[in-house]
Amino acid sequence: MEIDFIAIILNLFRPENLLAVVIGSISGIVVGGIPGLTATMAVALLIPVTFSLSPITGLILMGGVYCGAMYGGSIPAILLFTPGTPAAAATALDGYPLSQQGHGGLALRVSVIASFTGGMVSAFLLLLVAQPLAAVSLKFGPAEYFLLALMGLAGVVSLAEEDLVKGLLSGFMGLLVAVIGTDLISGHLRYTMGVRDLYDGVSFMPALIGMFSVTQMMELTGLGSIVKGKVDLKTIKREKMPKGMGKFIAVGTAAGTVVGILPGEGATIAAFISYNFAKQMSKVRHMFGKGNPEGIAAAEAGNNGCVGGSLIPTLTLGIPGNSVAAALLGGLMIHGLIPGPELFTLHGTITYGFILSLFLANIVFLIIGLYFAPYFSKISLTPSAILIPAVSMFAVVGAYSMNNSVFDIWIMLIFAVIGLILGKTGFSTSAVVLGMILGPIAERGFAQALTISDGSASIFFGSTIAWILWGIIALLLFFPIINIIKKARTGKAIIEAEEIVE
Amino acid sequence: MTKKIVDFIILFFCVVIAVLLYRSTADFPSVSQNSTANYIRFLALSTGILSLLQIYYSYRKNDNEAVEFYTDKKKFFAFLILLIVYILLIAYFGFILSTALFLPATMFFMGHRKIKTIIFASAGLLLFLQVLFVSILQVPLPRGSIFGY
Repeated sequence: MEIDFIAIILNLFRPENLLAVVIGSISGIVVGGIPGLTATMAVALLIPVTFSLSPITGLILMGGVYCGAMYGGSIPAILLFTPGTPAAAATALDGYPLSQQGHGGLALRVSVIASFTGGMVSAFLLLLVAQPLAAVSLKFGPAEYFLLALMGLAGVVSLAEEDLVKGLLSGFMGLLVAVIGTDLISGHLRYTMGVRDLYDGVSFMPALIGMFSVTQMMELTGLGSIVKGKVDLKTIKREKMPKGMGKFIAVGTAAGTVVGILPGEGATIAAFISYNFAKQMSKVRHMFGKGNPEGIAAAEAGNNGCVGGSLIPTLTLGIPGNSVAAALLGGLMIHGLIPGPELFTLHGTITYGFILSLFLANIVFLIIGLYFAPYFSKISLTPSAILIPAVSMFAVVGAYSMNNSVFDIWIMLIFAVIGLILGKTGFSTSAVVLGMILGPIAERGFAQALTISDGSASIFFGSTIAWILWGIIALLLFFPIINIIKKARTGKAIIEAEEIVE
Repeated sequence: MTKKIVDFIILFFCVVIAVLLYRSTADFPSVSQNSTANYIRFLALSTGILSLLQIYYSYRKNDNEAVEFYTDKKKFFAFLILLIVYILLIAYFGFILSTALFLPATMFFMGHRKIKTIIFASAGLLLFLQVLFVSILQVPLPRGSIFGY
């Protein structure tokens, strides 16, 4: 099927779509600029807003929020040493010292230009790679889909090096929740406890809203105000972009896009990896942490580079690159858009329109960032006593409106409490949500593959794609396992040394 | 409560769930025995093994650091109770009325004492919700059983 890009661009430039890009990007910057509110939360809470919009306008709105929030987090990170989103934590390391030295304007400029470049390049890669990759997914059989789901989980735990087992276990918790409902093969009810609302399973969106929005609000209850600092707008002067930032932005963009493609907590990891790369490359390494714009350039290009990267597996295979992409996946599904090749053929106008809108969203936040960034830092001073009920109200609307079910609001609350407990004990809530999303894909793949092979597990090794997927899974788990062994040996050696000393 | 104890509680719960799940698959219809039942057995086994492994790690780690689920006990539980009451009220009184009660009450219990701000913020949020969600976007909101829905 031929894609008419001129029609797509004309459609994109319709007033309602342009308005959606602008509103989405600005809302994203606002949400990203408020510590405690995350991009995941913003996208998830936005889904009900998109119900009555056309799918393309709804998606553009969510894409704008995603791009805007990734950038917005850097503003309070630079001016107040309080990252608006976890992904902006690396930016604060050099951004805030620069602000203290009277170069807040320079830090903000580097941040927005790096974010813009990272976002544009990764969106371009998404445009280039997504369709061919989606076409490859046609060659996937049930066994390959099961392995793909495993790969998704391996991606999450490979990034949770500190607690590999807990990371894996979190993913399995999500997979277990996903088995509640109707059996795919026989149609009998499993683990529903007679509750009719569970016949179709536990919806992942109320769970996601609970774990990413309400949990966050529970954690804010003890804080009068999230940010203690003050911003004096008069002290922020416009400064030129320093020279030599190009290679750090390039490194950040590349690292961000690659990390974004891997399922996991993309943006934060991407920003820190990019920051570390930049530190290794820098001629003024000793200035890192003391106000080096190179660190900001790499970190911001890294976290915005994640946007396009994370959408590649989301749109092509239905495996979200991170929790924001998972929320976006929920939005796609609500509008009846199922990831895969059809998204680029049958629904090509919507999908390509959405991808192209990411370029516009980057341009919008570039303009806003260059001229109005300091004003957005004021938003982060909103008292938590106002923020908590407001976000909770939107969370309730979001959870309810997925299925028009009050039961889903209870699901949201239950998962908020579960998320709080798991989060405080080192389990990964992202992995739980990812497990819930991957669960049906994994189960269908596993069950159908075994039915085809008459119960023989050899089907999971029966194709080249299956072997490639096994290879990637092994690779994703290899380094964390090596790290665990190393740590165990070091720990053992320390204990032995202590015993000898005693 | 220490992190180690909370870890043990969660992990033992996982082991129990894994055992129950594994046993439950015996009651699955025969048509599912070679497919979905096997999938659940795979999940149960993996969860059980991982939980036992983590119990061993947690036991060795000696993590006696206390887990703090909240920084302000009163506000945390007040918020939790307010949320529960809010959801209960939604089912009876519908969304708008319940939210009109929830917003100012939560602002107050979370420590905001400026009555004017509470009234204006609550009214503003409700108006925004009514105009954007109900009037413009026509998002269905719960109307409550008391009004016959």
